[in-house]
Amino acid sequence: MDKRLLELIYMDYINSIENPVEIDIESRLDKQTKKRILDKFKTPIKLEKSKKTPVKEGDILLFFKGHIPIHYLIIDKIDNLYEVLKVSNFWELGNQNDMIVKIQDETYIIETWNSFYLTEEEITKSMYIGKLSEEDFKILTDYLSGKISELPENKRGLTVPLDDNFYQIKFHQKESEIVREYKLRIFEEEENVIQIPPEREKEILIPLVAGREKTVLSCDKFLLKKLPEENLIQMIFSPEIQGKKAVITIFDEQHEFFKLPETIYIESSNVEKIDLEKLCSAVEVSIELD
Amino acid sequence: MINPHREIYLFLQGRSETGLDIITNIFYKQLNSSSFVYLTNYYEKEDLFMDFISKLFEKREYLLNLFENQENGLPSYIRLMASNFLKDRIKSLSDSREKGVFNNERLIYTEGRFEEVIIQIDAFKLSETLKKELKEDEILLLCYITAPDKKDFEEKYFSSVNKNALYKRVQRVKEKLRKVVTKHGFAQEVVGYYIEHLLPAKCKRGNADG
Repeated sequence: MDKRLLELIYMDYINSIENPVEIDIESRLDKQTKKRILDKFKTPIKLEKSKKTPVKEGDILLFFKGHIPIHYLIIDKIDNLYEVLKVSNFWELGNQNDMIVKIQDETYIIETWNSFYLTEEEITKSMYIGKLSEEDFKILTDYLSGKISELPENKRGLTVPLDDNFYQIKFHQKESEIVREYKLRIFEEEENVIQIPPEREKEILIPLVAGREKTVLSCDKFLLKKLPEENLIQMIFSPEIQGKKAVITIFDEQHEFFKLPETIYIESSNVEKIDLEKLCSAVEVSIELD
Repeated sequence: MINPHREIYLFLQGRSETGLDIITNIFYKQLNSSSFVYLTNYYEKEDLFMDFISKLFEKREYLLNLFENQENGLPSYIRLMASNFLKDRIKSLSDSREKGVFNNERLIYTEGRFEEVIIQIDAFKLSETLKKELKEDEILLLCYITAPDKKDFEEKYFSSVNKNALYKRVQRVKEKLRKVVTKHGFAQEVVGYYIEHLLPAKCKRGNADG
């Protein structure tokens, strides 16, 4: 056996994403075996009357984008869009930022870094798979809000650096790509992505000698969280200033918000190298009184 | 023109032979793919298929409910189920001490981590990789780095090397280890498992054969 187990699983994952199922009706089984199987499946079963209940935070659902099954977990509803996190059956390919959970005896990872947005109609058409336990949902939300900086050791994938040689990172890139079109929806109505002036970026880079740097940092009025695979830094505002008229200044550039959302994103191609503490000092949030 | 989704749904109710043919072919295609084909060295294909059908039978009610109002998706879902089924077989095969598919060593389980099998299998692969990419004296240095009693080790193997030179050699081998680990994409826990469980046994044997 030359190949690593992870490599075999990654190959299967890529196959499931890139190649639609080939439909073949050639008969492989002998008549007797076929009859035995069909007879077994003929035994009557009672189907539950399907009742549509409203979806809630923590529910896991499934829809198909062409031949690709997309599992997701509902975490929030923002205006008319649901914020969801991608969920995958390929839990072996998760890393330290993926939360491993069991739902209906199946193991999944919740990709805490891979959020996207679905419409009410898409949610309604999806299939209900199960619900995250209260305990797991609390761990997840604590992690997302920065209350805890790491997922518990027995509930996360293996620790790897952001390097293309690792199957976990290749998997992450593909997972992000699959839902890319749904990620940008939230930005369609309002301009919620701002950029660090490129000429000033070097002022907030991590010094070369630094060790393990923070990926989440709580500042005075907001929280910063790195999303390196998406080239974004998430800026989550504290509830008391959300919805207020505000001006955000990064270095000298001002961005005006008539209604401050819960989250905006700072774009940079150097997310990994940015020192969050320096960025925190370079950002000023001024709330304008009504 | 057949509707594969519908045929599979009907088969789950025992009403479509075509649905059974479609599922059979999806399963065999997965089994014969490069990810899973080596399982056929250990199992009869037909036995694997019949086990899969039993699993499908157990899940029949769930699937019929899940897809009741859907117009597509069942072929992809069956492929995913086949994949999960075959992955479980690979893992249980890896755990089977008699067969030793991935290595000749015993897998030791600890409670609490889902990925224990992945970590252990990768750690054995790391061990093989290091055996190829490090020289014997570099493995010996790894033994020294992780040795509980460094003094003993220094006296036995490095008595002719001065402290400064030994320090530099240690730094070089650490860097080489880091490069090998990154090049082949081994996770931090895999390296930890190798150092904690596999390396000491090799160091004890005294030949530091990687």
